[in-house]
Amino acid sequence: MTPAAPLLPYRRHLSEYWRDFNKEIVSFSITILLVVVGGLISQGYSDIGYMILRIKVAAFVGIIGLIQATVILSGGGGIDVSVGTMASLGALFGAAIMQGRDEMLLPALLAIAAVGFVLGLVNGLMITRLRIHPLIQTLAMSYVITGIIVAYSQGRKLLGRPSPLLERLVNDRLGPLFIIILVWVALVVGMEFLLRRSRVLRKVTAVGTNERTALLCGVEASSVRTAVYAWSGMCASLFGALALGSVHTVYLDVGNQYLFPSVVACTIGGISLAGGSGSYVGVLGGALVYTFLQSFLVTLNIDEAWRKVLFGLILVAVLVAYSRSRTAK
Amino acid sequence: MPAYVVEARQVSKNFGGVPALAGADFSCPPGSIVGLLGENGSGKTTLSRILTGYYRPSSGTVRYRGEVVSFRTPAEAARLGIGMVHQNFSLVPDMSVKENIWLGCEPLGRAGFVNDRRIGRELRTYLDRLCPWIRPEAKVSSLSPSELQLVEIVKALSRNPIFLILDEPTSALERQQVDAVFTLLRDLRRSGRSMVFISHRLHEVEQICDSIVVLRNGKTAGTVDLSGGGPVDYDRIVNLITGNREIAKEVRRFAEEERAPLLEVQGLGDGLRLFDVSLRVREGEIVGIAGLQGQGQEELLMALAGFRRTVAGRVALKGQALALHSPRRAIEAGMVVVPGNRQTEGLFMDRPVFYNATFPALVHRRGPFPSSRFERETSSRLVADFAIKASSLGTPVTALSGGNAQKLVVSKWLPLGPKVLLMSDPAKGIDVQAKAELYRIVLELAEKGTGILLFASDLHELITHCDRILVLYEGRVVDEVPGGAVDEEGLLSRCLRREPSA
Amino acid sequence: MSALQTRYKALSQSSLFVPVALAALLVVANIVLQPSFLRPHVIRSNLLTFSPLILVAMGQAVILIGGNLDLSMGFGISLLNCFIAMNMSVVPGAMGHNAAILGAGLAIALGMGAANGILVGMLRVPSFMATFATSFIWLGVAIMIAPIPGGAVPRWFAQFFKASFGPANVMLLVVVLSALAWYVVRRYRLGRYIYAIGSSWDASYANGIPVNRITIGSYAVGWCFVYLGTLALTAQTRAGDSAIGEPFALNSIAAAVIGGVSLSGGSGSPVGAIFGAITLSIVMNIIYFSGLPTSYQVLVRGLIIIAALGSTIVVRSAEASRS
Repeated sequence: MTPAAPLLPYRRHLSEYWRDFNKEIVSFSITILLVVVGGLISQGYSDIGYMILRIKVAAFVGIIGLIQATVILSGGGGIDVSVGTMASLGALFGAAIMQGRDEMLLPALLAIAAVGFVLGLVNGLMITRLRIHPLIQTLAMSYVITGIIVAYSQGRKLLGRPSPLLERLVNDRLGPLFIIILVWVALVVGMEFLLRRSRVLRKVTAVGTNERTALLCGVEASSVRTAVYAWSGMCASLFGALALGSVHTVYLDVGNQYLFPSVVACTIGGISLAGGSGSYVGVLGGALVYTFLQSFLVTLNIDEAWRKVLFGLILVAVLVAYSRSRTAK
Repeated sequence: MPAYVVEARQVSKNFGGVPALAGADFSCPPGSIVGLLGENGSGKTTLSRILTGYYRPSSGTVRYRGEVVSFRTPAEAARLGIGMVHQNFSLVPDMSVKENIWLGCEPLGRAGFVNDRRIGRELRTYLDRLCPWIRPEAKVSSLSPSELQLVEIVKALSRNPIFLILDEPTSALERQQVDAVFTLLRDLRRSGRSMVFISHRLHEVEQICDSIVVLRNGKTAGTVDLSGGGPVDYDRIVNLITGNREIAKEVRRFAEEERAPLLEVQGLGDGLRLFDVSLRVREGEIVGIAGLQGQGQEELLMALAGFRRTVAGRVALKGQALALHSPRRAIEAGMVVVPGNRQTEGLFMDRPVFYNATFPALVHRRGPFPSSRFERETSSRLVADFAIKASSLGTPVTALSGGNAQKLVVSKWLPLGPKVLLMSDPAKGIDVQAKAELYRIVLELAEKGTGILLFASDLHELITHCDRILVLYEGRVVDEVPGGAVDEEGLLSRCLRREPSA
Repeated sequence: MSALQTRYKALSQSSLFVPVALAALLVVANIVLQPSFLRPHVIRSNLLTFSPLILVAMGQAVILIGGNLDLSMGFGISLLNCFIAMNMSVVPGAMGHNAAILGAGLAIALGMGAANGILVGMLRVPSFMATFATSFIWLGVAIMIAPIPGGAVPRWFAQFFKASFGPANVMLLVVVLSALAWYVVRRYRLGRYIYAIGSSWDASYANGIPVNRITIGSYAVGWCFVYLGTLALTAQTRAGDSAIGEPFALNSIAAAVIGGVSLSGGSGSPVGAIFGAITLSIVMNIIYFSGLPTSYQVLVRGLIIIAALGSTIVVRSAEASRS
């Protein structure tokens, strides 16, 4: 055995830190910038209480963003546009099973998870075995889920309420912060750790970077991706239950509104759509930027139409900046 | 009449502060073929890109037919009659050969439509001479690597260039095809055209070129005139390329005693390219596979690696039968592969050094969470042991030179302690120094008892390093030669299935 | 074989075979469930209903062939629809004004396409994200033009596409002419280069193809089709509504894919997308006439779409492994 070699550093120069963490740095900086400028423009914007409320909203976007990020990381055009409808389905079933009772919380969660897992598994199998593009497959699945929701809820009074425990999880505070925010941060920390250290997520990013190389190292893309989509379906459904806790009455597309934000959070957070690269901390930053940007635009007191235009323009600017940084390398 | 078709004086090119060329000189007289040699990173590709208009030089002048030129786009250079046969193919996969040949400069008919008929006529001339079996309507994505390379050459020639740069044009071709191409090039030379022949294959360069220009570290290291006939001074050429550095002289000790069989293959076939292949690799033995291009070498290694479906045959590793369903089985049994194309099959290109170095070890180790200590120690050890030039572990492998990247492709398997290493042309396209270092690693592995099955397109590599060499012809093992008992001519004859000249 | 025969042979083996067969199958199913399907007025009515998606899917197909995507088509249609409806004048004798509005609409459509094309082609932003972002801009402008649904179009405009002859109407003519227009573009370098950049951006660049300009060109051509589709849509709705375009974004992609256009670019044809759109549209018809309870109709629609997608892919890979 050769004597132990000197341990090389991961990074030597400051420029390497920028290379590896620029997306996270940029998104946090933009958030801070928005808070500062917002505070200057409108008194009370930077008030801690309001900020925490906004972070609570960001937590939802952030959690669904983690799910979407994992799918995108797995590559092969990976994206899951059915997460919104999965969440709606989860909320619907969850409310119906829970009926506002704590003792039904666990069975409800298990049932939601099972349903989401099966549907996600169908996505995964269609994508990997039949080689249907993920965008198309998950789009078609979202049609099917919408159909299920319509079929189920037709002529039926939408009964059901989330269990009080669930509502407390989402709406209660621990100190100044909401529990849901702590849950979010814990999830990000946990998943980031897994991303760097666990075999599972290393296989996911490998398959997202280069399928052939991964295969020659013994990692098969189809099994990894099938698992990712099944996991995504399960988590998106469970997320629906979470979303349920934040609203008090059930309505049909409570989850659909989270699809676009999930993709925006991933993009701003630096998850490359080609797969393989990006970090969950970046997605956290992306969720913050998204939420704070939306509320910033509201603070400017502009009407809905202009808000949309400005949001689009700012998103374009961020995208152009990211693409320039890539080519500048 | 200018003395040179192309003349580059003191040309430099910087990429963000990194000099790819630092005052190189190059000249090519009309009606001649000039060889351009140099290690990877010496500036050959950069120089050829400047001459064909892809890059603008940071300083220096380029003269074309006597006049100073500064091309803004490759199209400008192309219009003046400068052509290029690319190393990384410039063919569009979903289009036909016919559509590709004139892509970018299609002849137009009336009303501005693309004139398909005229393309068809012009196409046949060169297609018939080099690869008459290829239909013009055939989709490029259906062609084999050697056919792709031939089509690239046809494409460049169809534009009737006055000055043509060929970047590794023969790397995928077999002997007869190379001869056909060379005949064409000689015809062009006779008609007054000039060519630059970039290659690592010294014996081919010696065959076709009138003179050689050697680049080293972005400068012109020297020129060698070959037109005078007489023996070629290989040592001087290699010296110019490497600059007097110590090249590890590879000496393989051909061990004669019997050792335990490690890998046994019987009757392996896939019904397409491999038929009834049987071979044996012993512990510590380096077995080479020789053959013309496309005789099944790559397919054999991929089949053994579990990457290619087989329909017949039995494989046993250390006496245990091995089912070749997937690479995962093969790897778990201890048989790993160093694939032919490191960028698309051997490495995760955008990922850091540590990611690539530890990936197989991580995937196949026990325990769900390998520690960061393990990752750092393993990567550092590999980088140190194999002299991989990387300043930090987080450096993306795209920043490594070809030779260093290839060392990573091989060394990433070592923490797993593989029993058999399958290598598919591992030293292709890397510079002389890195090649020597790579084979040093291979030798060390063999000495520790790993069995090596090695395919190389350069017969000299096989002769120098292997204990035994198998010759593959049309998917069958047709010959076996003990190491040291044959020279390059002899081995080549066996590959061609010709009687070796006494 | 003459050039015409060779081209016919290529066509029958081409990517059009599956979409046409699929559409034909569904038409037959529709006829079985709704015998009145073959009545002239039903055919004409269906032509009118299907055509907006058909034309928009053709536009999406052109962009997909170039290796890109356009998610902003939906809200772009909303914008154009609101612009036309809110600005056209129903006052008699306003022909000049209305013609100018229609011309301006075309300019706006080309502008939106060019904007997307510049983002994707020159600024190298991935098309998914770029068009996702611009869709917000278009929606915002659409809402500005028409905060609540309103506006009107002159009678002649609404009747234009309906003008009929036999079982056909002007709408059919427009679709056929669009298909022919594509074949013309295909014969030019622009058409050829769109396929080239979709198949391999790097190889196209290496060959001196002005990849940026061709990308912008592909978006411009695509949005011409989108504009035609919006005209067809507006003529039927006779009003402007900022929500009208939303389903078109993803539906046009689904229609193009069912029509044999590859999402990775370089293969397929907008003509195939015509049949893909027909397939998608007929599915709703079939479900309606099958007598299924309304609560299940949406679900079955989704299932049939999945089946259609699956069959498209399965058949194509079976063909590929055979060849």
